Formats: sequence, C-alpha cells, structure tokens
Amino acid sequence: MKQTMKSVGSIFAVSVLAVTLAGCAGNKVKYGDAGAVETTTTDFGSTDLQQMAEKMVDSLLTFPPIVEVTGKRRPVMFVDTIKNKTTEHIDTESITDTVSSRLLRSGKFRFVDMTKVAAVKEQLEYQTESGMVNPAAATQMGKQIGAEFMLYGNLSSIVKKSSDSKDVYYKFTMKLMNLETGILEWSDEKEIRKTKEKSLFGM
Amino acid sequence: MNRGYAAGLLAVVLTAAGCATSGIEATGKPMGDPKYAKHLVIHNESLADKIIITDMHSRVTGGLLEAEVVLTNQTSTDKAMQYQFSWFDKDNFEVEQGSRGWAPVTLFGNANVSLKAVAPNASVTTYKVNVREQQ
Repeated sequence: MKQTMKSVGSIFAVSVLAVTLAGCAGNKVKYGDAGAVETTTTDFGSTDLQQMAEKMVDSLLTFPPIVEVTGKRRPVMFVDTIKNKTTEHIDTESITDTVSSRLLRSGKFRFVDMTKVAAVKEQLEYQTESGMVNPAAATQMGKQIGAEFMLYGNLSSIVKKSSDSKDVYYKFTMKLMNLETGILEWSDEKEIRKTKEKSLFGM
Repeated sequence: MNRGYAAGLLAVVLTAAGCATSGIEATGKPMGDPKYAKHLVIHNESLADKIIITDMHSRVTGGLLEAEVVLTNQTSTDKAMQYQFSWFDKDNFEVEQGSRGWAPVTLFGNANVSLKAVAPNASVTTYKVNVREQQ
C-alpha cells in the first residue's frame, strides 16, 4: 500500500514537471517597437505603410503652391480611396488614415469624413425632427463646409520570382485635386523595392 | 571621405556601448545658438568609423522645419542602414513621439545619401536623427 502511494506520488511529480517544462517550451510573447523595420516577408508591411505615409505627408506639406495656400488658411479636404492594384490584400484605408491624421495634426489642413455621412445625417435628423432635442440647443442642418480638395491615389506592384529569389516593387501614387476646377494641385510617388533570396541551405 | 568635416560637426562625443540605438545620433538646432547648433553622439564607434554624417542642414518651409542629413559610407562595401528622425519643441519636449518609424536605407560603397524629413507641426525647433545598422 505504502509502495503504491509512493509510485502515485512519483507519477504525479513527474507529470507536474512535464507540464511545467512543456509550458516553458511554449511561445514567448513580448512587446516590440511598432516603428521598427519589419522584414519578415516581402509582402506589404508596416514599414512600407509608414514610409509611404511619411513621404506623401512631407511632400505635400512642402510643395510650394500648397505652402502658399496653407499659409493663408486651412483648406478642407476629403480622402477618397486608395485603389489597390497589387495582387495582395492590402488595407489601403490604413494608409489614408495615417496620411490624413498626419496632415490634420500638422495644423495645415482640415478634413471631412465621408465614411461617417450616414451616421451624421441620422444624428442631425434626430436632433431636428424627433422632437426630443431642445430646438435652441440642436445642431442645425445645412451648415457643413464642403471639401475644397480631394486626396486619392493608387498602389501598384510588380512581382518577379525565380527559383531562388523574389523581387517586389511597390509604387504608391497620391494626387490632390481641386474639386472646383478639377485641376491636380499636387502629386507624388513613393517607390519601394524589396528582395528576398534563398540562403544556401534554404533556411 | 572627409572625416575632418564630421569632426567639425562634433560638439560632444560620448561613447555608450550597448545603448538602445547602437548607432550614431545627431541633433540639429537651427534656431538656437549656432555654437550648440549641432550635437553628435556616437554609440557605436566601429560603425562611426565606417559611416559618417558629412552634412546637416535645415530650413523652415511653410512654418515647418525641414531637415536634411547627409550620410557617407567610407567603406567600399554596401551598407544596409536604418534611420529615424525625432522632433522637439523649444522646451525640449518630444513632439509627436513615435510618429516616425525607423526607415531602411542602403548606402552604396563610398557613396553619399541624403536623409530628409519634415517636422510634424510648427512647434518643432530641434530635430534629432539616429542612424544604426540593419538588425
């Protein structure tokens, strides 16, 4: 009986040790630097997004005709979509979000958010038509300011592969159109080339 | 190339092995006292022998500080580097902290490359650039 108890105890101890060690061998989670250069694969990544947004914002803010306009007032813009012409699934709204946030925080531009038009309309209708809101305190309809400029662009890529290497070329183009005249006021491109080569042992 | 010029930029040189950036750090204060206008900190002397900052200049465009730093590769081999600009206001508070990530740049052998950036807003008076080898 005493021997059996001893064996059970040993098995239990070994099991606990095995589970503990298995736990130690598991994945380790840690926080990294969101601004670090990411080279996990040649697919579109955070460094590409950051570089594209930085280049476009810097270019737009220092383009002489735009500097002249923003020196006098803060023009209102709206951001149209970035057309994804690559073969990858890329959240291009994330690029426009970064670009518009930085332009807004520069204090040089103001934006209207076209993705929230339905929600704004619903709220304004509630305030003016539901009878629930004091008319004197309600936000009036028909007083919004229209956008003067439209920001839009394209993201394209050329991918070339061989048995031991892959080359990806991204080209991001942005344009700023004056909505009244239809004239393009600014445009710029950011090119990124990423290459991957198989190492000697395929590691 | 021209190490004398780099030495001219060198106001203070500190060696801090194992520092977070493990590279070269240079600060430009164009609107400050010219005597303290530039400040270079070398965290990695071995890298500083190969890659040098040969020029730093800036201007104000539309109220925003625009900075340009020229890096020179003193070796004949290509170097994969990374750089990051950061921005500070007149009270030396960092402006839009972390808004700019590290950017990759290739320095070809015995060649120069210009790194350019524009301050995120008009409150910036000082910029800093960190340069390190690709990890």
